Amino acid sequence: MAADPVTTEIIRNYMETVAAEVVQTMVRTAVQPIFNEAHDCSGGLFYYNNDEVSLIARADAVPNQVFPSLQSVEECLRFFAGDLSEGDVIIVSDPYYGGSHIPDYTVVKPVFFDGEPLFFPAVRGHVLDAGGPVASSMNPNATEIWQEGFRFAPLKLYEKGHLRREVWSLMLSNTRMPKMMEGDFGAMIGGCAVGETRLRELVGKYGVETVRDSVEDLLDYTERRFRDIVREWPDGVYHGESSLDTDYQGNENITVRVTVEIDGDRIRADFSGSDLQTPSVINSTRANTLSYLYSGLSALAPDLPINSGVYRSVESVTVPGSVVHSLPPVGAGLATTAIGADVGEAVMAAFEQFAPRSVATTVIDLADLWSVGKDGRSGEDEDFIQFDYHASPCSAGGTYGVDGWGAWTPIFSALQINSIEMSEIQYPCLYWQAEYTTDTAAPGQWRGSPAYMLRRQPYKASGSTFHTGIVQATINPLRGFQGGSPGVGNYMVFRDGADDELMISSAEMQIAVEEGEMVVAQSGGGGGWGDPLDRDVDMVLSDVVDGYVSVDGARHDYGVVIDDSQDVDVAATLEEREKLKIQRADQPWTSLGRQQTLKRIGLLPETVE
Amino acid sequence: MSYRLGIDVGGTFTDFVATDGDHPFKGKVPTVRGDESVSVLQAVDAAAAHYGLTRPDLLADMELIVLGTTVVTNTMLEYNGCKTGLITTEGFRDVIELRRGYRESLFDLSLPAPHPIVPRRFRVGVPERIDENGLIVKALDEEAVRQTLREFGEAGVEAIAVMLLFSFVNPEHERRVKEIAAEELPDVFVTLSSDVLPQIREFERVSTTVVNAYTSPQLKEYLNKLEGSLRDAGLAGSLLIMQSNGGVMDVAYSGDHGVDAVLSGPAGGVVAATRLGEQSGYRNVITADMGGTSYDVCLIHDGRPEVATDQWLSRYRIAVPLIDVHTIGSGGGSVAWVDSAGALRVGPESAGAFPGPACYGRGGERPTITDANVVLGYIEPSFFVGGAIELDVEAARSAIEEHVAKPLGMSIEEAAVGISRIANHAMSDALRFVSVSRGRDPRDYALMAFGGGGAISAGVQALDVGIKTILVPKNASVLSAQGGLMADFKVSRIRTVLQNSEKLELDLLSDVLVGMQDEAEGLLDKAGSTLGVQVDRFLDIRYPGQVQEVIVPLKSRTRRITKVNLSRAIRDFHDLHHQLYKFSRPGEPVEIVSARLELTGEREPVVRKALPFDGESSDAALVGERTVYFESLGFNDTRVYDGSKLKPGNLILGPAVIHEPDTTIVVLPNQEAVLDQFETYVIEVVE
Repeated sequence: MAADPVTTEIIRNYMETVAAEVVQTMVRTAVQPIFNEAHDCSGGLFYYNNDEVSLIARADAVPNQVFPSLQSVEECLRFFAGDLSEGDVIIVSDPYYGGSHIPDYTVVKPVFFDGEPLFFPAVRGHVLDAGGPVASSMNPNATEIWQEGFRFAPLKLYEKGHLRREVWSLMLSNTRMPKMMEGDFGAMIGGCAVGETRLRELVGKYGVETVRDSVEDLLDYTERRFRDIVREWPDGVYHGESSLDTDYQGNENITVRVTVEIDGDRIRADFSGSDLQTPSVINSTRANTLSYLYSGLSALAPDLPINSGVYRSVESVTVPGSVVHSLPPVGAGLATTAIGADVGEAVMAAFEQFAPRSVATTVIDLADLWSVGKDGRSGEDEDFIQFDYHASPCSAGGTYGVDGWGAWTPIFSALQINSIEMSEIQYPCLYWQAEYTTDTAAPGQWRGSPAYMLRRQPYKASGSTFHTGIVQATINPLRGFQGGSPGVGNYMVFRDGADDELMISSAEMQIAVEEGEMVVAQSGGGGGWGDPLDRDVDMVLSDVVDGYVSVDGARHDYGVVIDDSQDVDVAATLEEREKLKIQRADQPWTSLGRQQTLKRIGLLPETVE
Repeated sequence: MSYRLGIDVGGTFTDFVATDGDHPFKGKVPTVRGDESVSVLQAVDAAAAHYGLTRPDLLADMELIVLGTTVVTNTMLEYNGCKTGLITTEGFRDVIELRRGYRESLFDLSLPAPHPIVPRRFRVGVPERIDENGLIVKALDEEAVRQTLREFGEAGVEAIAVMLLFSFVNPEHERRVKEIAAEELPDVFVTLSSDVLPQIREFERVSTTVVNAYTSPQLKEYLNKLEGSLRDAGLAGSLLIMQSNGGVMDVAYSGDHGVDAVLSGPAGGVVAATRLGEQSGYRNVITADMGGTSYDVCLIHDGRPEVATDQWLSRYRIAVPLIDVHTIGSGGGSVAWVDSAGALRVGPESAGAFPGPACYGRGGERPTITDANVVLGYIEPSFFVGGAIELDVEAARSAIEEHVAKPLGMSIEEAAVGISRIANHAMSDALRFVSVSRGRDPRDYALMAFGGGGAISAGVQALDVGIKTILVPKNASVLSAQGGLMADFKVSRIRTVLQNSEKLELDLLSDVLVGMQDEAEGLLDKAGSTLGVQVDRFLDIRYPGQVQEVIVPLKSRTRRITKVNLSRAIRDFHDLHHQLYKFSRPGEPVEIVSARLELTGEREPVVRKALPFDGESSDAALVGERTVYFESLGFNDTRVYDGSKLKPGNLILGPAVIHEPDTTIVVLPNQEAVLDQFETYVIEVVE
């Protein structure tokens, strides 16, 4: 039975507010910075109609966490079918139970009405350490999932309102940071509890039937609106692909291939042509793959209330055992930004063909910097593990009418870059640079955001600080659209400028760095959109004045000639653009910033002009 | 001197409240956009006319004018502040542009960047570095500073913000930059992050400091000009400016602290609500101010408005202490529409004041919340803003029919009910946001409704969130202006201390508090004379590792604090944390992140005499009946009362509608209204 549209709108707004409150509670009370400073966590409300589980509302949190939560809730329900009670709290982290990677823990709380588990507030967050051989559980050398961390298949953390002490201590025994884990569990369970309270208030007011009808209506509503949008896209078959530099085990250019078919108001995304999974940590579970597909689709329909209604018109095909649908024993630890990013890029490459003005970079490219050691400042040599988001903050690309700006692509903008000052207080390190660099914005009629340069050093640590750098996108940087250039790509350097300087374009583990030695990381921005030779000349000049682009870069990338008094030489510019147009028609070209990056990595001789 | 005048310049109207001690007079004049001072002088003239005086006569006998201003808000909304430069630590000049990665929308790839109020060409890093203990790791390169300043001078930079890393621990370098600037560019306004917001987190600090640089010179120019005109016209008394923290300050202070005036107008309403609530016996109040474009709510707990921790203005972060006014885009002008998949939506688009709702008859064709209120009988068409605007009922009906009723296959009345329900629900959600989601139970609070439309739907909101009492002051439509007359002087200071409770240096904390108090007292001394001074201290406390702090009152009677004072605050922290987040860890160490201090300089209170109670019967004010919609009754013939004829003590049992000159109060069935001895309507709600 349909609820009246006014009540449905009211209940939809209510659900969105509750989802936001769930996430807020978790973020405000969590104790470790990945949750509370960086917001690498998410929350949503789910609904079960005795047949399927649906996402009904999610909060502003990383979407590639929220979407796979749906699969986690499904797996928990499947596992505990017929064995769920009021007061249960379930926890799951195993990527092969609807997860994405091992450190993402999901907490689900069934909320019963009339004896049925009807709603499920669920939260998910990236914990600091999930066991395994490497602190942080991000182990690029792993070839099997057991070398990444401890797998928690669905477990009841609470049963009928009672804490299961044996489960709680099992969880805390399998992390290097039990105190923090305890704090974060409190925050996650607290978030779900707030969700339950608000859902009970809603049902108390409107009754189960009305709420259930409204939820069905709002799913139908999103489905209807999304189908309207799909119908406007031209029918056809569109192909897209994207390659990953390396799996850290010697396999290179691992490729995701997708064929997107638009047929009336239906979409079929077929990933069958993708490469096979490899014995490594870059493989993507099906849940993780779909999350990137859904994120891309959501970016084409940004005004839509996001819920399972979107998925109903989408059919997706993945081959088990492929890199986009991995099966045990292979690892998946880096899939959330490694192969996941390629799924997102491949999907956008296909979308570009039917909705060119709506596309842009929607992923971030892997550049993880971890440091571990002992803090020499407290006098107690306390252990620390730091994940530094300043190594990978830039990926916003240009799109039709708008330059890339800020830091991450919008899809990831729920992630918050840590405060430099707070980081220096929490960890024994000192930052010297964390800002944009010149000529690194991917050229385009609308350019990407510039690359970001991080320079930092250990400071007052006790002994060496051991750094791990895990990088992608040096060979295959973030793509451009409609003639726009790709981003400049990522790299890291440990002991920058020293005799034993270490350039990292794939992965290096646990490298000792001493106080006074520099760690450098470049995070390349997203791709440009449209031909840079069509960029408005005044915008190029303005970028030069602002130092985003150099005078050389303006000429090399945009064909804009700027004289000594910082004015545009109009005649010379016309000529230069004409010349470049002809040149570029015949042979591929590389932006100045990308050339500089390739030279720094050593992939292009210094002498090339 | 006998007169006082409170003025609040709003987007559409400039409201004022004048008093000669015994005879308050309130009014509205249209706001002249672009030059607020015209509206201010018009308000002075209107008051003069009322008291039978000329402008100079009134001003000569004027003790005080308190002004709520939108200059800073408008500067930010229209991005027309002054040419601003930023001097910062080398290597960190893009912090303000990166915004810690924050964007207003998660899926909108085409959302443009915020307007750069300090473009990159005017953001310069200078070599220097201070560490987290205040130790100088790299000395300030003074030559680089001079060079930058000269370049700024040549480029015509009008204001300079300075934000260096860890200046809240050691402000030495920032102060040196200011000294050099005084030599190089003596006429340019310079503002330091260690003065504006000596608090940890570089993005929050730089954004706040840049906003201060961008807005202060304009505010200063405007205030100086206004004060000049008022002095020329004979103003003998003082001119004070309403601040976002709920206090008032003098023109000299205000002109250097634009960022403290971002909520100048709304803060006045909250101050008045605090005082009037207290007068009527309510120290726990949630305010609801509904204007043409927005619905502003604020929670007052135990006589004190909550302090905001995450305010943004026009896409820039503002982290100075200010009253926590939560705003949603539900105003009388919010447009109702049906989207492509057949859902009824209200807002966020607003018809504003021009063309305004369809019923204004100024060419607005799309239906708004006000149009729905007209169709449902809440607003009397011939008595809107005291009869100043004659509303066109047919225009309201046809707009709703065309844009909502027909597409949804409903009657006009059903559509109006739908619009009203959705709008009401959004408002109730806002009330829940400032209460329930922050661990406060709305049943412990009274709802004070004001602004043009707040009292129309307050009864519904009260039922929705479980509030038992609604308060509507007779001056509801000019409450912000009245707040200025009631506000005390107030200086708010905050300083990061970052101490763990286990290794706490009590003396250091005391020194910080005493330093802040000295500084605040200095500012207060300059601002004007006070009857007495009250100091409130707070600590921002959290569990180690958390990033969100809880603001905990620190109860001490001396300038320094004792171990006992501190233990008490920490114990209160555990309790407050439990109240807010459903758990606490008593016995665990805690972190004290910042110390706050609020110095209040009390002004002579505006004493309102209690009026004597009349009989219970309200029949003398009954002016007729009209058809009004109530959810429980449908459309119903409803008694209408003329508020100007009601006496304190008169009782009105709902359903009923009370007309005040520019406010309508809807009393729901089973609700009972009484005008109390301070002329505030107290409406009791029965569930």
